[in-house]
Amino acid sequence: MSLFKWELKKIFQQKTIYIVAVFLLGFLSLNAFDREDRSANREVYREWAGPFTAGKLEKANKLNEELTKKLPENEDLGVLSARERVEYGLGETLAYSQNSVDQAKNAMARLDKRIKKAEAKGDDSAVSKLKLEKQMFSKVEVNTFAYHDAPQEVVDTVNTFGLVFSGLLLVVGLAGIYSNERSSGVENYILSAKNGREKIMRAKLYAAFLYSLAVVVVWELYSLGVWTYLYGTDGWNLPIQYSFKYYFSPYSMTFTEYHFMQMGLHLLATLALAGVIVIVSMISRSSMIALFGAGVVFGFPVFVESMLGMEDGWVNKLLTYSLTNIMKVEGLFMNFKSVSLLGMPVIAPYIGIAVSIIILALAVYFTRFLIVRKQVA
Amino acid sequence: MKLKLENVSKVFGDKKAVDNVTTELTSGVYGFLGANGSGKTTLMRMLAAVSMPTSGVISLNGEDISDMGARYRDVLGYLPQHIGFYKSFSVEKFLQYIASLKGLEKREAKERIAELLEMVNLSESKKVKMGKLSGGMKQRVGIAQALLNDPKVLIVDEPTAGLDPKERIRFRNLLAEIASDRIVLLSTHIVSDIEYIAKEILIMKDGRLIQKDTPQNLMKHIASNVWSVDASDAEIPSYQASYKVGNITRRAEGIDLRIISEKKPAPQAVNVPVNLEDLYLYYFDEEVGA
Ligand SMILES: Nc1ncnc2c1ncn2[C@@H]1O[C@H](COP(=O)(O)OP(=O)(O)OP(=O)(O)O)[C@@H](O)[C@H]1O
Ligand SMILES: [Mg+2]
Repeated sequence: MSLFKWELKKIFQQKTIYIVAVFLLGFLSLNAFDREDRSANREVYREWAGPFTAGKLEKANKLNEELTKKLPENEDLGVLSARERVEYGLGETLAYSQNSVDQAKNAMARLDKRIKKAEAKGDDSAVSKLKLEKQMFSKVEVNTFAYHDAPQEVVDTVNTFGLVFSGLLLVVGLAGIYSNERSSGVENYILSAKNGREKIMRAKLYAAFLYSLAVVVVWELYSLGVWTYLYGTDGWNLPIQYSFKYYFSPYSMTFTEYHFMQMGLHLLATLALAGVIVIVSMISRSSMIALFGAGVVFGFPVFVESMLGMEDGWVNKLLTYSLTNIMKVEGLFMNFKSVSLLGMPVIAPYIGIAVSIIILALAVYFTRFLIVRKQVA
Repeated sequence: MKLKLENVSKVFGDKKAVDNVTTELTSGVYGFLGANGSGKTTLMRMLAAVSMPTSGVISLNGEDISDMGARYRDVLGYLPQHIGFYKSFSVEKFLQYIASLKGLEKREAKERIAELLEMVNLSESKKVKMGKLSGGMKQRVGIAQALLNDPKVLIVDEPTAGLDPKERIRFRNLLAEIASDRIVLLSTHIVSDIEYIAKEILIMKDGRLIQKDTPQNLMKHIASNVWSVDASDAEIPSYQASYKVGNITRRAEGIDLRIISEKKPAPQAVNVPVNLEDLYLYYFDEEVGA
């Protein structure tokens, strides 16, 4: 058997990864299936789908008025049928969507103002950033309406469940990749064997990357399965601005396009995290320390952010590009964010890609650097 | 083939575990003696490339082993003092894993594993999980893995610890058989392990290599220091207080004490032929005697 297969086997033989995976998937299922029935929403939204018109909004508001008459004193919606309840809220929903359209337009106007201000101050880098933002906003088109619960949930799962699943399974599955051999004493055989340094290192890295890929694929398939089962396949061609979180996003993308980008970035950052965990495992004196260390690498950015809150300091700016936040992805896309490099504004997703690749490359480089010098404890 | 150590030291904090060792090993079995903590394991780890000297150079046929890297490890077999394993691997699987690490081809590995399992008398237990083996059986798996790649340099750190007498003899014969064209360094606290097979004996004390010679020469060196003394029960404590006392043998006609001493311990004492046991006592039993 090749070294790669052995390493893969050692990773996948760990019982804890299955326990953690089942526990987390169970949690997602409970959360998803414990929601109110949304089939009425789908039905009604489908009837109203299509381009916005003033007539539609008016009609929706009229419907709302009629239904209001049906309500008792305390406005208890319980007297309405499921379908009627959706129709009752339709005006608001449409208004929100209408607002999205306006928001894009308003954003352009606001940006124009800010550009003028920056120009007056002679702040070139701010001007080029704002111009880029404006150019991006000009492409955002939010003028059709459709049912979009499924893509909205799938996209949102990346930064909640997906992040936790990838992070925890990488920590649990990979923290022992080197430290277990130190703890068990097998390290002595490995380091004195012909292929026990560079070659096995390569095998371990490939195995770690393949495991990471498997982890991401597992939760993504599960998430797609669950949300498609619950909410169908409508809405994937809608712009992401329909999701509340991306209301201010300057990225002109459909849910489908965005989700591909999201998964690509998430996977890249996850691979980089795997590389970092391998190093942590290599330098840890015991498996416990490695597990703790790997947990800190993943959890530290989240911890610091929760301590600092939303305050707009340099630490938070820096943490935008922590591996954990890149794995979350949404922070790079929800608003316009950029970094000036040589006077040119570079948008956040590119920085996220660059940071992940650099960390991944450094991790591989240091693993190699350390392995030829590694000694038994 | 020549394994050369030049001024090799290993320092942990302010502790010099190995202190400026210079020596040369060629084909044959070298017995490595030394009290607990004298630095045997530390030195052997450096020879096994799992640890690096703080200063000094180890070379094989003139080439620094740290420059040789995988080429050195390719000719190396190492049995660490404390053997590690994956509990859930069977004996056979564990050896297959080590064979992959050593770069053996699949077919080659299969044959070699069967051969070695036979050699260490574990063919019957090859499907048993490592975690379920007895201490001595684990030790034998350790010996087998060290020999997988037919090493030219074999470093075995207390290989006979935990072996029963039968297996111990088996192992001794095995080593004698294979040592002709390779360097074998074997540490032990049991001198009979190396008494008949060692080409030379290395003696380590407080990190320094204080002796390296053939067993015959070493024993000759202390020939006039080994005495046999007739004594009574009551006299034993006083002898023990002032001399290094080896075996105490009860006979019908009285008690016979074996004493290591530069000067004659008693008028009735007679010089007796030296064995390696005496050598060990001579160098390491410091607490007693003047
Ligand atoms: N990793 C380490 N860190 C600190 N000190 C160490 C380390 N390894 C060994 N030592 C110290 O170096 C000295 C030599 O230890 P070593 O294990 O080489 O002795 P030994 O001759 O093999 O003993 P034994 O017969 O008990 O196996 C001891 O004092 C030990 O405490
Ligand atoms: Mg030792």
